[in-house]
Amino acid sequence: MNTAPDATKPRLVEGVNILKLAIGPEEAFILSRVDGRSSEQDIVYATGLPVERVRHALSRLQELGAISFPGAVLHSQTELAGSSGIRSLTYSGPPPYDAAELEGDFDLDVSKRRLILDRYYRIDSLNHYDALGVSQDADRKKIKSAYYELVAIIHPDKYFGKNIGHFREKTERCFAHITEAYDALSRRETREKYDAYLKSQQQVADLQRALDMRVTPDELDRLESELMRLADSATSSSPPMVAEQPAPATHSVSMSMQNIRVLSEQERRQALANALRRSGAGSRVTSAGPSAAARSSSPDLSTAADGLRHHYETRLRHARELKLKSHLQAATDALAKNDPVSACDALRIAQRLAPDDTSIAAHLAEVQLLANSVLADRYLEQAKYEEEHGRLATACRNFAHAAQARPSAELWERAARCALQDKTDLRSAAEMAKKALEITPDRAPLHALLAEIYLEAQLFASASAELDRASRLMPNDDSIRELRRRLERSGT
Amino acid sequence: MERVIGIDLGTTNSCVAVMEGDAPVVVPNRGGYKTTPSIVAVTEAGKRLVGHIAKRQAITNAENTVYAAKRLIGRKWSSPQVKNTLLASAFTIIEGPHGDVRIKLREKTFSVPEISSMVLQEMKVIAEDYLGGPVSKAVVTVPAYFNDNQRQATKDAGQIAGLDVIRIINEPTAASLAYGFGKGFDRTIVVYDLGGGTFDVSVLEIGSHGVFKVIATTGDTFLGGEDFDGRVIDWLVKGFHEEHGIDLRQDRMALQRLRDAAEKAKCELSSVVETEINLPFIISTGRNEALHLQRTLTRQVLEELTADLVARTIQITQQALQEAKLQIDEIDETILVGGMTRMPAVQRSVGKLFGKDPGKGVHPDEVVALGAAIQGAALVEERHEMVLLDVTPHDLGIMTVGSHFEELIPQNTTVPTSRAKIFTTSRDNQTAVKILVMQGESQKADENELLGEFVLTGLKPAPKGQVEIEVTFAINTDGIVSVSAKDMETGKAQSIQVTATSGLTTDEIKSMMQNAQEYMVERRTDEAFETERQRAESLMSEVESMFPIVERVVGASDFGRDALAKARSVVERARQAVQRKDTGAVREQVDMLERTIRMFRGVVSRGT
Ligand SMILES: Nc1ncnc2c1ncn2[C@@H]1O[C@H](COP(=O)(O)OP(=O)(O)OP(=O)(O)O)[C@@H](O)[C@H]1O
Ligand SMILES: [Mg+2]
Repeated sequence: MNTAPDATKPRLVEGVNILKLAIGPEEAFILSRVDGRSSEQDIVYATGLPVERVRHALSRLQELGAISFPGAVLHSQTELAGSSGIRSLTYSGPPPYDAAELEGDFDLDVSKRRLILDRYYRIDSLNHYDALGVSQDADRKKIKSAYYELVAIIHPDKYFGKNIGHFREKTERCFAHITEAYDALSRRETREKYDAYLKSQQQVADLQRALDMRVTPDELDRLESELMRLADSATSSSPPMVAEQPAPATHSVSMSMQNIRVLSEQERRQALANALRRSGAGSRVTSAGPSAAARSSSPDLSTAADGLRHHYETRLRHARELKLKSHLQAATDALAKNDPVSACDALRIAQRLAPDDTSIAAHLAEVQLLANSVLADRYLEQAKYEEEHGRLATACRNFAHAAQARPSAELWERAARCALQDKTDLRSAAEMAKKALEITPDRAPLHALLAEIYLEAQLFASASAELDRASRLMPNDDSIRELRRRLERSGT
Repeated sequence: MERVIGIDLGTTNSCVAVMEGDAPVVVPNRGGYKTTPSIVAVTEAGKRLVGHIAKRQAITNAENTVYAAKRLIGRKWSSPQVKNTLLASAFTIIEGPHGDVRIKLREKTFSVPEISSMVLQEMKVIAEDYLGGPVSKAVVTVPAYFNDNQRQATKDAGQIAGLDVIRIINEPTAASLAYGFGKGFDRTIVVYDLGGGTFDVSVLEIGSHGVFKVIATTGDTFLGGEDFDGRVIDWLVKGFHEEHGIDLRQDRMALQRLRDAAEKAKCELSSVVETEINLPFIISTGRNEALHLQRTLTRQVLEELTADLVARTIQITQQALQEAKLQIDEIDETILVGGMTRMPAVQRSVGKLFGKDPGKGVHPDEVVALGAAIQGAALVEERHEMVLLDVTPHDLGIMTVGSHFEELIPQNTTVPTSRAKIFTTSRDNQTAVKILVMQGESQKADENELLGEFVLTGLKPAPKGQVEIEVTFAINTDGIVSVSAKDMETGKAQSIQVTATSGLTTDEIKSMMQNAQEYMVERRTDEAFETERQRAESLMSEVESMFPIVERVVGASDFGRDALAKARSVVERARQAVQRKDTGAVREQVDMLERTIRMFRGVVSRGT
């Protein structure tokens, strides 16, 4: 891998017209942090986004030619590693393992040790495309050759009869991991499903963000300082000009507006004092400092301050009204485009601009409901995919999410079934089955399900009671009878 | 570096191959044949026979001749397949101590792996003769659809034969290696393997870096040439019964003759459209008169008798494609493997399914062994660029409360693979947990194949549910299952006892190995004796042929009489040594005989 110190630091490619790139806000945000000095990890810290998303965005930006990794690899760039001349298939970023793990008297060269450890410790964060080192639009041929190339290095048979110590187990695990990825991506049918799954995962993340809109401390600081600047400029420029200024439409500015609130007295004074200090009127109080100036009761000064304050407040109101309008419009547009996430975003800002407007609040609640239902759909999609692929624990969780967003007995039931199959958390399984029963108390199969869960948890008395309920509701059912037999067999 | 041999251990025929440089070659046996019948017999004198020689005496020694042992290997006594074989076999099958199957030959009882080991040992000897040195490592093939018990039993057979089986590979996969190795293909192929006893289909991708990846595999381990023969036998038996009111099945010798005739007719009908089955004196009636069997079988009738068997192979092939999620037109080539694919009806049906003629260019009887040799070389010599990715043919799971089968690793998962699962105690102070591991596709546990009971022992006493053990179920590249456990709390490995498997115990295997080794020593001594005997006999006759002329030249002198008497006693002693089967003594006498001849030659040359 022989990574040079800054080999993994992405850098902007000169002469690229960023405005012409087909990228979304998140990628743009990440792009704005690419400065040739920050590593992937730095960007993760700077943006607060999960590492996979940053990595994914960087790889896409690299594909689009917007950024480059000088002399290094993200996935599939060619590089000769060590003496063996194998293509380096390690990932960019700091190694996820302790260097001590590279040691040991094994029949395995260091470049391969690196490669295996590098993958092994990333397994949980790599999606199928990352695992094979291909882009999401790679064709089947490319996927096949990427996988075959990896197999030729990662398959345990390549180390048959050799002492490779703990690397054997890790090799096997890495092999299983790329194989799972290949099996999913090499058939059209399974790949379509996987793509839908990935997409839905992304959507869920967006929706989730829209729904709970966390504002980080960093962001608050930034807003604060921006407000101060706004106040500054308000007092130093002439009011008419301000009123004519069109509402800024870019993303970053709208972000800065979302926390606009009525300024506290203290802040306003501070702002005024700043302004006065810079204006000619302030020349007389050079040594007194801003607070002294603010406290001063000279009538001249007081009139000037009133005037300024008036200007300032008018300007703020204007700006606020304009912004309000533009955000309400943005919400309407987003809804028309079936994008409740953006609509939520816009309405939330609108609400902050006009906290007393109940119609906006009502509208927001409505859109949130809509987003919730979209969210439920996405969760459901994911849950189904995961259930099909044997990831029962996550499937269960997502069924439960879906059920929370859109309560239904069927969803709770499916969640409970996954939990039952997975067996690691039978208590939750029982809880979920009960939730389903709350909605439809008279469904015999639900009672049977709960009985089966109890049976599995060795709670035989409860199982028996549930079975009684089930058979009262549906006296001649084979599966209930079978459960009864199982209960009798295991109870003794 | 020691060479690894590749053995195709077939139901009907076995074949051995080795890598010569970059290409595999089949090793012919002493008779010059490239395949050896998988037949084992014990003679009246207690001598073991394997291969062609066993086949030749099968009719007169039907009860002590084992055919198609592979159909029994790794199966439980209670399985329907064993019941089936029981009816059709001339040899005696009994229940073994583990609910397994044993075969009685003369007074001795043999396990099935032992019988198979005899065939493996024969193949080993064939290779050793060819390579001129001992061989200890082998890759052995099994039908892709073999379950864990069958694979394990095959591995045991290898061990008994004194072979380190470094890998078990699937027959269709081996065939694909022989087909695609070193050719740089980028293709998707189907291997259709219909042999003597089993049917397999595998769908594979071949691509860069010598990678062969099996996408899906299906099959039937009880469908093959034997069943085609069976249909012909039924037809003959039925006809004979209609004509004479006699059931030929009651007579073991008759049955054996029918079996031979049926197979012969079936094979002939692959090249001609009509054949005569002629078995004079097939059976004698009570009144001291013999009955003959004489019938004509046409290809058309044969095809009718076996149509459902062929149809079933086609249905299984379609299932394989479905599992692979591939359409017919995505298959670049079909490869036919196994002697049964010479049957025109088979070729026709496969051709029809894929809309094109199956690929020629692989030898149906040899590809499997060739592939095994390639895999052997690729494992031990780094220079061969080849990796084989195979799949597990059955769902692996455990039995849960109420006899349910819970799947852990689904079929067609690429191996090696593993899956961990957490188990916990269900009673207070429980110190052992039992896990029943099985393979199969049924929801009901008892319809699947039980691989073994694994008991986690020595758990620390605690309230129920508090002890958690992580059990890992793994399938290795041989397709063999293993189970390991560790305590979640301490991270320490947890001991596991395996019980209730039908397999042989380590002790049994050891003692069988011992027997096999003794046999080998005996056989090698026999062979050494045989060489000495032949030399001694030819020398003896040479000496004897010289007596008259020596007598004529020096018979009158005392020296001459003395020399002649000595020569006679040398010949006599040699004869006795041969009779005693004393290899060392024979060798000594060979020396003496040679000296005698030298002396006689001197006498004769001086005297004339
Ligand atoms: N010309 C032929 N026509 C029809 N069948 C044939 C012909 N030649 C051989 N067979 C049949 O092929 C079968 C043997 O095939 P093969 O040697 O491939 O099987 P095997 O490898 O011993 O068995 P398996 O692979 O099932 O364990 C026998 O049933 C034999 O009768
Ligand atoms: Mg075969």
